[in-house]
Amino acid sequence: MKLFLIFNLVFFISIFKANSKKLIIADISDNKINIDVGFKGAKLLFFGVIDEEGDVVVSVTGPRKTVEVRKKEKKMGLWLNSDTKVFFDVPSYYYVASTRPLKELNAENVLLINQVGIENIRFAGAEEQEERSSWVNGIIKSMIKAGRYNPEPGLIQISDKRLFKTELNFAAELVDGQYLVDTLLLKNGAVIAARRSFINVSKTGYGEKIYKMANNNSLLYGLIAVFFAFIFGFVVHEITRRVNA
Amino acid sequence: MEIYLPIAEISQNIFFLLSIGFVAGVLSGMFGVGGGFLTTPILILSGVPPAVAVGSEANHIVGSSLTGFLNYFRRKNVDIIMGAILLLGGVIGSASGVFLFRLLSMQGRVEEVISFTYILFLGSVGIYMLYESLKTRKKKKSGSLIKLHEHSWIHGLPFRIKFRRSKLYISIIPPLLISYIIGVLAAIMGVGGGFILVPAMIYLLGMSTQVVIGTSLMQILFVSITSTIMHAYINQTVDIILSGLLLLGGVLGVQMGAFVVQRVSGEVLRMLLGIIIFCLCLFLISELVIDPKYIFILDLLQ
Repeated sequence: MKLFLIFNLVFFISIFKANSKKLIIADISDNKINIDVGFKGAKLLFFGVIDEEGDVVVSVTGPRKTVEVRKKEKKMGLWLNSDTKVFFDVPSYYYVASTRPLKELNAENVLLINQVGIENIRFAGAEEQEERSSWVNGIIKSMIKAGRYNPEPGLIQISDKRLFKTELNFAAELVDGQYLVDTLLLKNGAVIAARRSFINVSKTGYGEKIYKMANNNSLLYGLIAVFFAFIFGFVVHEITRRVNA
Repeated sequence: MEIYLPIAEISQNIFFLLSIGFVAGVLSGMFGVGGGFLTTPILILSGVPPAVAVGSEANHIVGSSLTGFLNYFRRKNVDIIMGAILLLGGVIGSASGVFLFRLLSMQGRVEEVISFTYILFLGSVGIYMLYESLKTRKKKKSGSLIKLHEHSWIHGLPFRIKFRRSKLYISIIPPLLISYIIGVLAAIMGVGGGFILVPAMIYLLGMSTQVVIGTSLMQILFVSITSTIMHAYINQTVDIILSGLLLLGGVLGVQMGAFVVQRVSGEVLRMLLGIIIFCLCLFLISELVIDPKYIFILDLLQ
């Protein structure tokens, strides 16, 4: 946690410095995503202008969550849960896009410090664990499988050497909360400008009402659930009776 | 077409959910079981968090068992007294089951316990049903009569009362005990318990067959009501969108099931149910034995 805060501080300082130069201006086609019952995922356009030639890297980080990880192990021929560890500050969503593949940027340290790229995401928790990296890799793999992390970095297009744009894709499995969109302008492996934007993801409509009620008014919610099932069962019975009669 | 399930917090295909509901409906129309023993594992495999699958399935069973119960009640095939006793045991059982479920989920053991109890019960019930139905078929062919009801020492325990509809005069201790155990299982496994209760009533209590299904549905109905409220209240894991879609898919299924029942003989039905149960059991065993693709399983907390 501490480590994470320090890195965040570093990031904010870099934003502060960069903003004074205003080398980068960026915006998102919409900074709100509403999850309703019919939600199928969202596509947002991220675009902007850079004032100096360089490489643009955009990373989107979902709300950081506490994650319980269970490890399966084969015991007596059966796959059973062998160990459970809790990790903190695990991004619930991660996506990165850049003008060139991250490896060609020659900026390993910058990417590491700013947690850009799937392999540079840092989690807290279970520090005492031996082979902690295998757990971390396991988390990343499962996140990719669940569609929360994107294994293939996206591409940012630059036109006229100044305009850049890219599409941000969000799968249906979205956690609600604030998503950070961090844009870095790199030149010769160093950050010369940075900007942070936000996307708010929230549940709306029936989905939100149901979720809130289930959590805040759980007894009433249970009774209503039973009531609806009752009405349903009764109506089906009446239909069956009349059809068969 | 995808739909977002607000409690499960995932999107699922509507037609997939409707067809699971349909299959459960066919089963409940044919065998008088809620169908939860089949739907819960399928939901878990399709990515619904196990706790939500169990809670929502309990809610689904409320609806499907009510339909069946009303059907049998109208035909006077429900033993209310027996049902009330089964209910008493079942409600206490399901309440303790929900607490046990919470305890197990805190230890990260809940999935294993669910799959082990499933394998144990599906396996034994499936095999027994196959064996019994084949035997009955043989006997029917040879023309000998089947004696359903044999008295043993358990029926002679104290507190004997008359069950008129079931044509029994037995102690209330065995039905109480059986229903308590089934209540615990039902709450943990997210099933109404019908697929265990039906054979238990036929073979252990010696009840007459036509009353068994109706009475079992009465017990399942009330146990699943308790389970739903408890899961919603204690674990917040009931997704009404999910259970609503399952119920909707079941409407047509129940009709189909009832249609098939009129055209197939009883032991063939039981054989079919036995085969379905046994296949599911084999599948769950393979899940435990075959190397999984991912050995780290995540659970997002707040």
